Order: sequence, then structure tokens, then C-alpha cells
Amino acid sequence: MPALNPTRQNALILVALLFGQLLLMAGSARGDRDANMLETGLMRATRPLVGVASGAGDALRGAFTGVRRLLGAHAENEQLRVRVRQLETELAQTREQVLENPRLRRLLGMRETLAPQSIGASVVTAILTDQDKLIVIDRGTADGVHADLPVIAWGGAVGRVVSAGTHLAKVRLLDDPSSRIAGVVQRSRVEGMVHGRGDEPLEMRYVPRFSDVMLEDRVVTSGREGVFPRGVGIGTVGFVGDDAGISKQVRLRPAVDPHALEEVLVLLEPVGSRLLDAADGGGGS
Amino acid sequence: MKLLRAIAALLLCLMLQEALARLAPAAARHLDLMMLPVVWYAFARSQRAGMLVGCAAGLLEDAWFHVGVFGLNGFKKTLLGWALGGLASRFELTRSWARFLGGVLASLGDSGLELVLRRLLEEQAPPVRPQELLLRAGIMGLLVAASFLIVERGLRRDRLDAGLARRA
Repeated sequence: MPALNPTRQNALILVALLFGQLLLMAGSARGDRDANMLETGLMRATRPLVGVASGAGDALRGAFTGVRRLLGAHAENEQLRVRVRQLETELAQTREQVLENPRLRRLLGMRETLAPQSIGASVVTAILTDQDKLIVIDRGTADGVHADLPVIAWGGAVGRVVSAGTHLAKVRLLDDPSSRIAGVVQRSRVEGMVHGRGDEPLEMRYVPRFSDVMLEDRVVTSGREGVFPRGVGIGTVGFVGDDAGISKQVRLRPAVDPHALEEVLVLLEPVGSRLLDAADGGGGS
Repeated sequence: MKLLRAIAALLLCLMLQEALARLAPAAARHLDLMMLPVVWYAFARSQRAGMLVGCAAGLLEDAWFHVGVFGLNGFKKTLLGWALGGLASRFELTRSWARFLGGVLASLGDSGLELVLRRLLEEQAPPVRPQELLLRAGIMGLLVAASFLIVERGLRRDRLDAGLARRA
């Protein structure tokens, strides 16, 4: 028998293989046991390797998912940080508004009680050195503010306007060394002149030696210097000394803390000696 | 030795296909790694090797990745191994672009045969999307060309090392 050439051999092998697989397909379609056995046998033989591969695939997938989640968490973390910062800023603003609200309400109440010609102002900056005690407010000549107008805040007198620009004005505070204001002890009606002394407490001068002044007495404006209305708080007596010749040595704690000033009220019309209760900071309390 | 190598190649591709199916199921749909040894043996060895490897690869694919009639992929890949081997015996398929085309033809032939066989077996065939077919074929072409380049480079280095060792 002559040997077949390779092409024919291949053709025969192909036919045999295809025929075998057609039988397999037919058997499989019928649910034949032999076909199932071959399939099961192949799977059983290669199962360990496929198990390793599927394990490796799962592990890699898990690792990728983990990395993706980690990256997502990082981005989310950044977003949340930004959000927290925003919320913190909003919270700080809200707290500021909560604190500002009663102050403004009181100022508004004062303004309503006071002469109609007054204007609220915000403190732009403060110059608080040993020698100068000034604040700058955001009102000026455009708003009717000019030099020598009194400036008050909740609690009492603040100072007087020393110069005014179009939209800004400088206010000399009561504790400025060149500041003078006429005061009266509210309880005993003893009068004197309150001098600013820089960082030292206010001093009430020209108080007669035998006059009735006690610690914690409240001193208010008398209105005699023609700038401040009567009854605006200046301070509380913190020290009384008798050894200063014909005068008592009286020192006051200021009614208004210049470091804490944020809003003030500028009185635009001369109020003379009119009694001013609203700026009293609680009427003798 | 040749037989062992062929079995090792088939098992490696089976493992890679399984790992890919676990790692990225969507990508695995477009990547028939079991086709690689069929094309390799048909192009680099002989028509007969292509057929036999195709038969084994197809049956493994049927066993692990196919649900339905057992032997469908074996039939397809046997026929493809024979056809690709015949192609390689008639044409010089040593250039990368020729191998790329061989891979494209193998993939298109696989899809076409599957469609025909499923119709003959009255099995429900998945809808044919030309774009998807072309994508699969392109990927297979690239994969075939790349695998030939990598394996041939590795073999060349081995031969060089062996030559140097012999001289020494």
C-alpha cells in the first residue's frame, strides 16, 4: 500500500477529528454519558491549574478594587476636608453673627432712644499705643461726621471725633492721655474731670477731698463740656485715695473696653445736657 | 518534548484566560487566549500540529468556558488550525503584519464558524455586532503579532546563550 502524502494525511486526520467531535456534539446534545465523561475528565485534570489561575485573578481583582477604593477614599477625604473647612468658616461666621446680633440690637435700641440724628459706625482699625488711643470708624463727612462729635457704644462713652475724612473718621478714646471729659458720680452727684492716662486707669480729677466717693461708684458724663450728653457711662470707681492735697485721688475702670469695640454710634447733633439713659449700659447696674 | 511544550502552552493559555475572566470579565469577552497556541502551532510548526492543538484547545475551552453542546469549540478550532496551517504552508507568514492578518482571519473565522455551527445545531446564537467582531479580530491580530515577537526574541536569546556556552 503506497504511503499517503502529508496533505492527504492531514486531511484524513482532520476528517477523523471533526467526525469525532461531531459525535461528541451529538452525544452532548443528547446528554450522552461518554461526552460528559470527557468533559468532566478534562475539567478534573486541569482543575488545580484553573483553580490557581482563578485565585490569582480574584486576588488581582481584589487588589485593583482595593487600590481603586483607596484612591476614591483619598479623593473623598479631600472633598470632605474642604467641606469641613467650609462648614467651619460658616460656623465661625454664624457665631460672629450671633454675637454681633445682640450688640447691634442694643445699638439700634440706643439709637431709637437717642436723638434721631445719630449714625452707627463700624470700627475699621484701632491705634492703641501708650501715647495714642484712637479708633478709626467707617463714617466721615459724607455721613455728617465731623470733629468734636461724641461717640458712644453700648456700655458708655467711647470718645470724640478728632478728625474726619470723607468716609473715615478718627475718634480719640477716653483713655487717650490728651482726653478730658466732665463726669459725675452717679450716686452722690460729685463732679470732676476725667483724664485719660494711656494704659493706666482713667483718673477723675478735681474731686473735693471730703466728697462722697466710694469704690464701685458709677461715674457718668455730666454734659458740662458741651460735647457728651448727660448720663453716659464713663467708668466705675476702682481706687479712692485721700492723700492728694485738696483733692481726692479717684481712679476709674472704663465702662467700655476699647479693645473690644466693633460698632459705635456717632451722635450727629448737639445733645447738650440732655439725659441719655439708653447709652447707660443698663442704668446703673 | 514537543508534546509537553504544546501541553504547557495550552495550560498556560487556559490559566491566563481563566485569570483574565476573573480579573476583567468584560475584557475577556474580546480576548480569546485559547486561540493563541492554535495560531502559533499552525504558523510556526505544521498544519497537523495546528489541527491537534486546535482540537485540544477547543475542547478545553468547551469544558471550562462554554455552556451548551460540548465539542463546538473543539470543532471550530480544529478546522481553524487546519486552515491556518494550510495558509502558512502556502504563504510566507514571517512578517509581523502577516501574522497580524493571520490573527485577524483566525478571529473572524472563529466567529463565523460559531455562528454557522450554532445555526446548524439550532442553538441560540448571540447577536452579531460588526464593530465588536472587528475589535476582537484587531485585538487577536495584535496579540498574535506581539506573542510571535516576544517568543522569537526569547528563543533567539536562548540560542545565542547556548552558542556562547558551546564556544566557551
